[in-house]
This record gives sequence, structure tokens and C-alpha cells, in this order.
Amino acid sequence: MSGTCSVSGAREACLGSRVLCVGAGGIGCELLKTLVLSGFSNITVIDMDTIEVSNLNRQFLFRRRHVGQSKAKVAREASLRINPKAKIVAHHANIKEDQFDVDFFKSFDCVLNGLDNLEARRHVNRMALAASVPLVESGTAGYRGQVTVHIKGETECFECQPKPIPKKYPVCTIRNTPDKPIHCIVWAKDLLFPRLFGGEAVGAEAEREDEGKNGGEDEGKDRSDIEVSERAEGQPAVEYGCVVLREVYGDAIARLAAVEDMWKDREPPTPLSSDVIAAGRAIVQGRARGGDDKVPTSASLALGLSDSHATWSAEQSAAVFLMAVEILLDGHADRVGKLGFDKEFPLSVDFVTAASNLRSHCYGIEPKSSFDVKGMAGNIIHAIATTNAIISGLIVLEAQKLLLRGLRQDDDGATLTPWTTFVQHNPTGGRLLQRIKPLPPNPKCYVCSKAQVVMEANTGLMTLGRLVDDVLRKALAFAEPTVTVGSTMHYECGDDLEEDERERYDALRKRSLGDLPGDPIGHGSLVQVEDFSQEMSVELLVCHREPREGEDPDFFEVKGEVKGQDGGRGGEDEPEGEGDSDSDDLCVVEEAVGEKRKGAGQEEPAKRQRAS
Amino acid sequence: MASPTDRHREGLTREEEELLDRQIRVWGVDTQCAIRDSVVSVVVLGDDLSFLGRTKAEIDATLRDMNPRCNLIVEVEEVAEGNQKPSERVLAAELIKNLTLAGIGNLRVSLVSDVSRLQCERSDVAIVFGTNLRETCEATELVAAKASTVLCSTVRGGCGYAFLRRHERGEARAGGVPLQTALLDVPAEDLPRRVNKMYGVLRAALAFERSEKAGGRAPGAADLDAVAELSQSEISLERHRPPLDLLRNYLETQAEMPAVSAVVGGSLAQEVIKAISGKGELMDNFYFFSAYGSPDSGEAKVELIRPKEARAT
Ligand SMILES: [Zn+2]
Repeated sequence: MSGTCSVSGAREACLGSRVLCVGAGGIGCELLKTLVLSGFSNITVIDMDTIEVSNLNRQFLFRRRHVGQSKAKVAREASLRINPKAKIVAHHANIKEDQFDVDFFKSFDCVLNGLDNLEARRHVNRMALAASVPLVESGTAGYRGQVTVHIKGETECFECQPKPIPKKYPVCTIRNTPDKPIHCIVWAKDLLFPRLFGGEAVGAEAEREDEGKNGGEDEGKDRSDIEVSERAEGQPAVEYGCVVLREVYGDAIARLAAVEDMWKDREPPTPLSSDVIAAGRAIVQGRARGGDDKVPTSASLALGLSDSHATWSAEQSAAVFLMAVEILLDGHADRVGKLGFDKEFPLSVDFVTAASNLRSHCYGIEPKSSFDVKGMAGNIIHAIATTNAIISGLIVLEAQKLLLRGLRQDDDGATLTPWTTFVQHNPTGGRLLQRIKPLPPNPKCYVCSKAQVVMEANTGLMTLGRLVDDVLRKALAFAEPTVTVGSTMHYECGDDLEEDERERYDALRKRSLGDLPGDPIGHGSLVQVEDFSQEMSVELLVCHREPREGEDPDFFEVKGEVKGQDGGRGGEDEPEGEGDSDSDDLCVVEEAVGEKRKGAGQEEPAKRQRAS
Repeated sequence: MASPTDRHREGLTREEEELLDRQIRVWGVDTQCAIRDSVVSVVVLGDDLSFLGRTKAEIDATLRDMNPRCNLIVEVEEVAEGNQKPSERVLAAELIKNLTLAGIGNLRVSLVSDVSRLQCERSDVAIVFGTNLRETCEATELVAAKASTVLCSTVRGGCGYAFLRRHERGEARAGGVPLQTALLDVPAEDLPRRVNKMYGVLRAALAFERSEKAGGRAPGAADLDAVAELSQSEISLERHRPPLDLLRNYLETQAEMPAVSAVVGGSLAQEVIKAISGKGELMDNFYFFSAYGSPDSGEAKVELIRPKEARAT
């Protein structure tokens, strides 16, 4: 029958359907526009972010006057101007909130994702599975993108496939033996910046060396091994900055360079010369001061270094370093101790650029421009409107097929096959859009196939708290896990707990697994984990073992888990909803900035592999 | 005319850098400057730019709001009562939106109903949108005389295509052929073995428009049999002929399926940016995409289709 796959048929299917649009960012704006133009008249949109200037190049429903306002609400108003007859409900909220429970998801015919982070994607995947609502998932990075359809019991779920693991760097490379610009940038951002201006350890990109194996977190990471004097009473900030430069780039580097064992196979670093520090100070002191007393927003601009693509000399870096220290310590005194790196906070970008380039200078590594450092330190995902537009079209085409299938079950099966589609760049054979059939559910997936998960850990050392926080919440992405062994409930959470229950669980959290009362968790224990908010349960088989040589004593290893989830690239301190990127975890390779495309090697379509 | 590369260029302002940060990270500052310095002309054979607006004032206001830095000219030809084209030009709106966001510095948007009255200005890239293939061929040739790169594109129902032709100082580049030649004058043996089925649809539709019976009008749903017949007589090999379902989808309506327009409009904008920046290989010379009705629906493919003799020159 051709009726089902006609334009009028597709439009008909849209008219009566209810769709949930998760995300009103790069993909979301394009998607809402295409939805209302296509005749979708009952749309709910959820986004927790507010509009930023760097969104405006592609999120075309937003204007400069909307900066700071809710993306969901502004997108709703703009979409209604395109089709005033549509019924659009906007929530300025986090999709993980309790109000968006399984019943909420059940009220839609189809869920469309335009999300920017793995955590939310995994949550929506589980909610859509629990509600038996089909999910159209999407993501973009630069010129490339992907749309996938997840139908419970028919195609793989979002978590059936391994996800790329965010890049981490061995901590000894970061601390002692950097050989790439990124090593110095991570050091400046995660170690030095928090040491001088922050409270707790902030970053998570510098990890313990065993990190890749146990997927754990970096709690207890000791940042205080950067030896720096405290600022003396009444000491001018620039003088204090000079002390920091001498201690961190002079003395500390000299001590490191003297450790002969470390430099057998590589060149030792050179301590920063006092001439460079003096020259930097002279630049700061000789700068033209503005007439007003306003605190400068940028150290580099205050020094006349306005080209963000230029690389600074060592002297200029020293000057920006000192200037940033002065503005941060004196101009933002109230925030010192609480500051973290923020790519939208120019002073932190200036500081990290200067601090990393000075370190690169000592180690003979090429310097980077502040534009590049901002991108690398801020994990900025490259994004353009055109890819988002293409992706939004593909999402709507898949949604229309899903809705038509719902209307006419046994009709026109072939035409209504869902596709996974890849948007490619300079592809072989001119295939700008490459489609493949979605894979069936992975029987090893613990999310959609109820597969057992095996956890190896030292049950004498691992606490219930670490099991709940790092294994269940972070690695396995549970929202509200309940832990039961045999007839003993060891842990539950939620707002409805009695005070005495809460106290009991808090006390149990501190006990090791082997030391839990009732049914302790040891080698061979079967742990039942349930999450009522996600309507999901998993059986966890525990295997006790001692740590291997060089391994963290409190290691854990989860098998059967679909790899790559580790609480996000920035760690738990990352501000929620870094709404700039349209995807921070897509299976596509980013391209070099400004890369000459002509003659460049052909890229393979994003290959997908099943976890074995 | 001056090519984007030898025009005087300045760097980007801080404001532009902040606003365009995410895309500069994709294509670099040099491409961003080339985009800002470029002159692009969009010709729409129609009178309704969908979500960008209907009237000159609406379209002008929307685009200026989106990019106040653009040197923008919007021309809308008054259409006599009863002569309006009935449908929204979503594809054209998609492309214009994408180019405006990208930061095109000089943009001329012309909505015209009568090809013979089309006024062309010099531009780096010109794009023509028309539902009627015969008119589109004519308009593309007119525009081609004044632009280095010309594209034309249409979405009808769930079917879309784009066609590219490059010129140098008004002369077709070696091997470049007009749309009409690429559609009607390519013998079967010169076609790619498994040409996208949309090619056959377009070939039959243009043959229909040029037939005496049609009198120049584009075919509609009632013309299915006639167009299907032409697809048999015009296309000698069975494997090049379009499936009936695809023909039906093309003929069903002149209205665009907005999802298909989003896909084609995004790809098209990408090509315009390639043409401006000189980076990347331009699609040469057809791009096809259909949503339903054919075994190759759902994939977008670039294919080179022209008579062999054109390749020799
Ligand atoms: Zn699964």
C-alpha cells in the first residue's frame, strides 16, 4: 500500500500524535521547527538550560535578547510563531526529576532526544524502555551526526553498545612528565587553578593510572602536592604571583629535573628563568591603565593581547599569569576558594592558557593560543547549524515511520523499517547519508535484556557507600538504587524515608561489604539492585579478589556493563547541563579545526562494534 | 569577478568570535572570514518563505534579527491575484536560515514568479529553487552567467534533489553541463550502473513538462500514468527506471515534506560553504534524497551524471 508512505499519510500520523522532545538546544531548536512544520500539534519540550551567546550561531529560535532565559520556554514561543495552532508544553527542568516518571513517559507516542550528555541519555533510555515508548536518539559533532531508533524488544537500546570512554590522562604524566600541550592544560586546569583559587579538587581528567581498569572515581585525589606558599598579609597580588612562578616553575621543576631516573628516556625540563618572570612583571607594571576602577574581565585584553589565535611568548604568558592572579585574587576576592575553571569565564581561560604555556615552555612543548586552550580545557564540542538541521529532518522521518507503524500494524512493513542513519563528511562513494538497519537487542545488555552484571572488588575494603555511589549510580547509571541480598535490604533511597531509616543507611554506607549485618556481601554473593524510578532491576554477581600489583586497593571492575560511563568527563563537579555542545559523547571523530578537507583521508563511516 | 581569496580581508571582531565560536572550531577562522566576505544570491520561484515569512517586510525582519551584520537585500515580486504558488518554500527557507546563521556577509534573496523577469547580480554562489523543472533549468542558466557556482534544488513531497554547476567568468567549466542536458541527454550507457532512482523521476517529470500535452506545467497526481509511461520511453534500461511508488510520491503534491527539506537544505548549505571556502570536494553534480518509495530511500548520494562527450572537453 502506498497510502501509508505518502506525504499526506505522514502528515496525518503527526496530527494526532503526542511527542516528547528532550532538549531544546542545537538539535532541539531545529527539531521543534521541523516538527511544527510537519504538522505535529502536541509537543512537550524539556530543557534545563538557559540560553548563552555561543548558542546563537546555530540555535536559531534564540536571539541575543534571550540570553539568560529558559531554552525550553523561548523555543516554545518561537515554535508557536511558526505554527500558532500547535499545542506545546515547555518545562524548564531536568529530565531526571521525579515529575517525569514512567507514567509521564507513557503519555507519549514517541520520545525524541536532542541531548548533550551521556547521563541524561542513559536515563531517558531506561524510562522509554520502562514505558515501552519508542525512542529516536540523536547526536552531532561538527560535520558528523547520527540518528538511531530504539524500539523495546525489536532493536538495540541506547546502552546495548559500548560508548567511547572520555579521554583520561595518567596522573604521573600530568604531574611530572608531560609531553603534549593537553597534559599541561589539564595540569593547569585541574591542579594549579584549584590550588590557587578553588576549594575542593575540581577536575577529573587527571586520573590515577589504574583508572582505565576500575572505572572508579578520583575521590581523595591529593591536589596539595603542588607546593606553593600562602600569600602573606598585605603582599601585593602580583608579588605573590611572582612567588608562585618561582616556586612552581622554578624550584619544583628544578627538583624534578634532578630526579635522574625519570629522565633516562626523555629530556628533563628546564626551570623557568627569573628573567622571564621579571619581564612578565615589567609588562604588567608598564601596562596602560584605564581611567575607571572597573575590574577587567580579561587579563589578556587588559595587556593588549587581543588576538585569541596568537600564541604568546614566555614573557607574555608570565605577564598574563601575573595579571590574572592579580585580578582573580583582588577583583574576585569573595569567590576565591570557590572558583573552578569555566570556559565562559575569560579570566580562568587566561590563567589556564598562561599557566599551561609556561609549563610547556619548561618542557619544550609547543605553546597553544587561548582559543585552542579554551576549546581543549572546556571540552568544547564543535557544532554547526547545518548538521543539526539534517539530523532534525532525519529524526522527524523516523518518528513519522514509528507513528505510521502504530497506526497500521501489518501494512507496508518494508517501507516503514526504522534506520540508523549516519551523516558523513567527505564520504567514500559520495554517500552523505549512510543508513544501516538497527541491530537487535544485545542479549548481554543488562539494561534491556536483564543480563547479569559481574563485579570484581575487594569486598573487605569496598564500602556500601562506594558500591552505591561509584558502581551503581556512576558506572551503572541507576538513579535511586535499592540494594538487597537474600532477605536483607542493605540500602534504599528516596525522599520518603523515615529519619531513623535514613540514619541506619547512612551508618551502613560506611561499613565494608563483607561487614554488613544480616547477609554480608562477599565472594559469590548475588546482589539484587532495583530502581523503582526507572522500573529497572539488575542482578549483580560479586567476585571478591585482592588488588593486582599496582592497582588501587579499593578497585572495582564491572563486567557485563556497557563500558564508557564514568560520571562524565568533567567529573561530578562539572556544572549540570553544559549546554553548548550538541553531543559530548557521540561515536564520531572530531575533525581538526580548519582542516583542509580536500585530499584529506577519507573517513570510514562510524563503525559500530558490539561489546564482546 | 574577485574570488573570495583575493578580496581584502580583515580578521574577526571579538564579538564575532564569541558568537561564532562553535563553528569557527569546525571550519577555522579563514573559512569564517571567507563566509563573511562572500556574496550569495538565492532565487526562489515562489512566493512564501515558510518559517522565515511571507512578505518582504517579514522576511527582511526575520533575517536581520538573526544576523544584523549581514548586508541583506530582500526582493519580493508582487504576484497578481490568482497567480500565487500555493505552497510554502520550506527548502529555500532552510537554506537561507542556514546561510544566515553561518554568517554570510552579503545575501540577496529574490522571490519571483516569472523567470523572464529575473534580474541577476554578480555573486560567488547562486542557488535557484523551483518546483517546475523547466523553469528551474531556465532560471539556473540565467543565473549561471553571473555566478561562479550555481546550484538548484527542489523538494516535492518526500523527494529531493540538488544539482551543481560551476562556472568561470560566465563560461561553463570543462565538463559542466546544464541541468536539462544532465537530465535529458545522457544515454543509458553513460549513466552510473545503479543510479539513484530519483534521477529517473526527474527525467520523466521534465520530459512530461516539455511535452505538448503538458504545455509547460509541472505534473501532478493525475498525471501519474503519463509520467510513468515517459519513464519507460525516456529511460531505456529497466534498472534505471523509478519504482511506481517513488513516482507517486513525487507527483502526489507540490508541497514539501519539511523533514526532507531540512535534510536537503542542510546538505545544500554545506555545499555553499565549501564553494565559498574552497575547502572540501563539492558535490558533482547531482545529490538525491527521498524519504519513501524506493529501495534507496533514506540514503543521500552524490552522483556524477553527464554525457560522455562532455567529459572529454
Ligand atoms: Zn540494551
